[in-house]
Amino acid sequence: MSSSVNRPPFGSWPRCYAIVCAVALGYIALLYWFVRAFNHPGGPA
Amino acid sequence: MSFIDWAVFNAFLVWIVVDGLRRARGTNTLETYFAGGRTVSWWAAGLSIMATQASAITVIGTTGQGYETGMEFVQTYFGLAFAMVLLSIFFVPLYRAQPILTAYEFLERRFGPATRTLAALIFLVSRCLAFGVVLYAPSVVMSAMLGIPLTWTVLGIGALTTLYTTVGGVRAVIATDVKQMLVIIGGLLLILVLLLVEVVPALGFTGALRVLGATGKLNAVEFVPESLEFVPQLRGSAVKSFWNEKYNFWSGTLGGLFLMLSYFGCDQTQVQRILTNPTADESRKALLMSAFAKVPMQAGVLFLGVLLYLFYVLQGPPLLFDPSHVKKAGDAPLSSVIAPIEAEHRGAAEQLRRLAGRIASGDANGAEVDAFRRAVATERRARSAARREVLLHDPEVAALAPAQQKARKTPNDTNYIFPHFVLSHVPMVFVGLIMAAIFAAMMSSADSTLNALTASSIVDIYRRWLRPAATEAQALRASRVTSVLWGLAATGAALLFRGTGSVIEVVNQIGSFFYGSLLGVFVLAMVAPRAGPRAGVIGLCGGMLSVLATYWFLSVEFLWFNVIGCVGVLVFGGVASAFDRRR
Repeated sequence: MSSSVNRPPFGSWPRCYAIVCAVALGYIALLYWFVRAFNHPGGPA
Repeated sequence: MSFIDWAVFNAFLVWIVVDGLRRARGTNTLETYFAGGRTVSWWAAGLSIMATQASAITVIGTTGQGYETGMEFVQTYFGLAFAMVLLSIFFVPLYRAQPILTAYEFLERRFGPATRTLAALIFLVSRCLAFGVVLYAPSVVMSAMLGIPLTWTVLGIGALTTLYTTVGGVRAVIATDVKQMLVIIGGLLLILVLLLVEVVPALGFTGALRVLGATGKLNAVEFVPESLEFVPQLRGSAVKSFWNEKYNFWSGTLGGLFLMLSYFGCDQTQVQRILTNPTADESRKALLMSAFAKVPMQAGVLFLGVLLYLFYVLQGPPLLFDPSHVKKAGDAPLSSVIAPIEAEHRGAAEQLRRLAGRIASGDANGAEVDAFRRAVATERRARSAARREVLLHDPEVAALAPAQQKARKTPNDTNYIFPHFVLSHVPMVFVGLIMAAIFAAMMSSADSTLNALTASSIVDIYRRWLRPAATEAQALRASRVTSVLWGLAATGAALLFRGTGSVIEVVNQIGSFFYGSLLGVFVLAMVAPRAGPRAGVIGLCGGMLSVLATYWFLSVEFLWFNVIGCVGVLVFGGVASAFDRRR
């Protein structure tokens, strides 16, 4: 299970962290869109 | 389960145990037993991190939660990715700067032996109890569903997990975790496909979402809190404040951030994974793997539960999911009490099925949608009423005074929903695979906890205080004996938990009392370079007391305890540090 690949993903660590945070926000935005589009517990179905 | 399913299931167990035992080769030092010789690749450690977090209760409980309350639970994971980034930036360099074997070794280098030992003891006590629950809670469900005595289920899983973990150490844990995680993902994907095949032809994909939307179960993000009262209320107050809400964007992102920082950054069960990689960069990659995968995976598992609800709307949901409840409800005199509830439930279920088709096609008018929502509530109420009657007709409860009966909580059958579907509606062969996935989840959490408990016992207690001069061979022998003892203790605790539902709830909450304080002492080490040994101990005790005081006097949801504990340590530790400097 050893690995010799030891480069930061996406070029550098700061860029990698920025991408992780952007993806996390993207997930939340996607779920929010999903809720707005389909979840209507009190309104019209 | 059919013979073939049992064959698939047993083949999986043999495969895991044999694979774990094979890893014993070369495991002859503490460095290899607890850190895998620092040769584990990032993807294996990353999968092990995910498998350790995914207990069997995550699989069966989360799908059940999706069925009952929808997708709101996913918000607890919103802080995870940000926590992983912070851990990669601040914690990984600390842990990887020295060849440490436990997270708490770092604390001795910074605050001295007292803080390290206190932190290790907090970990050992809280994790030991939680370990019993990890074995017990899913065993109850699986033994009821499979008809195996509970004692055999607990003993079987406890013995198998202890066997390969004791022999192979952390290498066995990670190698089996990888396979167990793949089996879990495969099992969940299989269920997703089976449910989509049942639901989509009947309602269409958009139609299915329309029906689920009408039930309110697609509630994955809630920005606006139910209460805008930001002053925490006293314990026992009828007024609900913002701090009482379990699942919304704010508690999930901020409370969840602290929970994930504490769990992944300060709990030896998870920290041990990132100590097994060759370099700090590989440890970072292992952590960030979860950051990418966890939210979609958790949303997917909850969506499975929501689809399961829709499946039962189409098929007709059972009144009771727990087989022991079904058996009791069939016997007189309870059967005559249950009969009218069953009739009401059947009526609501029929209405649900009829109106779901209308809503899915987009032809339903406002009155029909309202009738559907009323049927959703009636069906749920009937299920709860039936469980209540089962409880009240239990001889032990029936003998109590009315006030005592009223105080008893209605039993929950959320954890039985997923296994009920698997055993009733999944085709042969696949049942064995899904059962293997559930047991894989149980073992993947248990093995990591067992090895982490052993690591802390040996490195932080045995070698630090009891036998500092122990040779490597003696320490390794002591590790294997300790691993067996922890396995026995957890299995024994799991057997003692029988019939003590409230104890399990308390045990589950115990972690929340300590986690934030553990995080706080690590943060104190980073932000207060002049804080000394006294500040470490006073800070740690002060953080735990802050959480305890909050628990006793205020009405605050458990997720926030992690924030309170962390802030408490920083305040108490900071003040102690200032006094130290003045002297």
